[in-house]
Amino acid sequence: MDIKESVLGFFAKQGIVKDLNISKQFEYNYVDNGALDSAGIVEMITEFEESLGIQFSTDDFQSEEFQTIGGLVGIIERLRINND
Amino acid sequence: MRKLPGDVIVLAEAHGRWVVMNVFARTNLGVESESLQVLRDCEYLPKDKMHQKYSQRTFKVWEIKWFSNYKGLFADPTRYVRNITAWSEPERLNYVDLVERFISHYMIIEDEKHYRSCFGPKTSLLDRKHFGNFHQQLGQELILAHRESADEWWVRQKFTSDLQGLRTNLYKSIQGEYLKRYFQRKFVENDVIVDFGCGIGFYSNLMALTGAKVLGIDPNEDYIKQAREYATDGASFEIVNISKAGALDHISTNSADYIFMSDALLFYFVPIVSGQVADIGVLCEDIKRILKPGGTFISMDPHYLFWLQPWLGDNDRPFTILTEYLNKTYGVTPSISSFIKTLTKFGFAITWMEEPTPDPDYESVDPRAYHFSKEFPQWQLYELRVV
Repeated sequence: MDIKESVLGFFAKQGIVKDLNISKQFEYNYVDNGALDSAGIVEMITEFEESLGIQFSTDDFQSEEFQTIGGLVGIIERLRINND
Repeated sequence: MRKLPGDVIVLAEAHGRWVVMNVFARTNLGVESESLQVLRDCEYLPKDKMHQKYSQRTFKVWEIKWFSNYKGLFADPTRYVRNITAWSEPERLNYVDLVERFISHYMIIEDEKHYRSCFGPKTSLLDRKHFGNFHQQLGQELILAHRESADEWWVRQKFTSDLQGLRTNLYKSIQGEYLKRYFQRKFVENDVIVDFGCGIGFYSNLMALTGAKVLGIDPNEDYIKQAREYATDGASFEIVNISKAGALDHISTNSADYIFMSDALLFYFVPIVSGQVADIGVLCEDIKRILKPGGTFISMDPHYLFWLQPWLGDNDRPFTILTEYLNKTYGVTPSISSFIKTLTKFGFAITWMEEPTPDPDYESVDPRAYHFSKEFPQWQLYELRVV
């Protein structure tokens, strides 16, 4: 499945970002906006790691990138390239 | 404006090395003596003088910090690799990178206001800026570094894999050994005991061995399932959301000789998950109602002063450092006055208190843990009566 679709799909399922246009969706900081609580973040990590076959590192979690939807897509794309 | 804050101490290690430690941020770095001079100079020397003095040199550093409580709630809380032979190969840095490393470990502070703002609760699971309290740090470590659930981890680090015994760590050598003797001394056949927050029922079963009738209650379904599987004669278990008003109404008034809690009361003062509300008023009213007149509420909790404080000094001559007590940002236990005032306000009086120390056999297993906890107790037990 396309990474962008998977990531956007997850947030859409949570009812987040549905009213934003595409570029605003990618800019959206789900942490600063409190869109996901701790349990939601754990669910997100688990779902992306299992369905997309990647493993986030501590550096990934600490990055500013990780906190935006677009940033997440970028990290996952890089991890997938490294896997291949 | 660079500053070497008062928060930093330096400990002598073997092989001529030192451990630089920020006691508030709980960061550690292994260095050699030359690096200590850089640490001192970067506060006072202007940049051109620093360059003149240090540009030709390289400095070894060892990244030795780790979240040592991953090994257990009562493992060595001092967050660096204690065994110097286990230190990985050092990095060799120029002085600019060394200073940057000191800065990133809060050993040199460039922005006092920013540093002070780090002392506070984490705002999310991903928040690495704020230090947060111990529960938040533990949650972050378990989930992000290990993808582990706190519930499963807790059980694994306390109990043997068959769940029939305590692992050979401080849980066993202090809490386990002490409570075994305490229960034998205290309880008689047909005493009625309710174990609030019984977990997998290990202590409920131990209490039932005295001939007492024990009801173990806990909100965690998985724990109660396990408790029922291993229940001793005389011990029964129920899933009960203990802090919810009305949840214990089915337990008869004036029915229990004793109510026991271990490692649970502290969460009524500092919740395990931020925002979780556990009402101590509800708890106290339930305890008072369920106890028989003259009955005793027994609470064994991690020590309100010494739990999680660093184990410093030589093995058999330990010392520790306290960075807070009345206004906690890291600690998760109440102050003694807060505990006593709260319980007495709700109508209890304290009738006994003990600070158990480890079983002497533990000295050969873990001398550092043994000697530290022999001087600085890791648990406390209070007996309280309704007045």
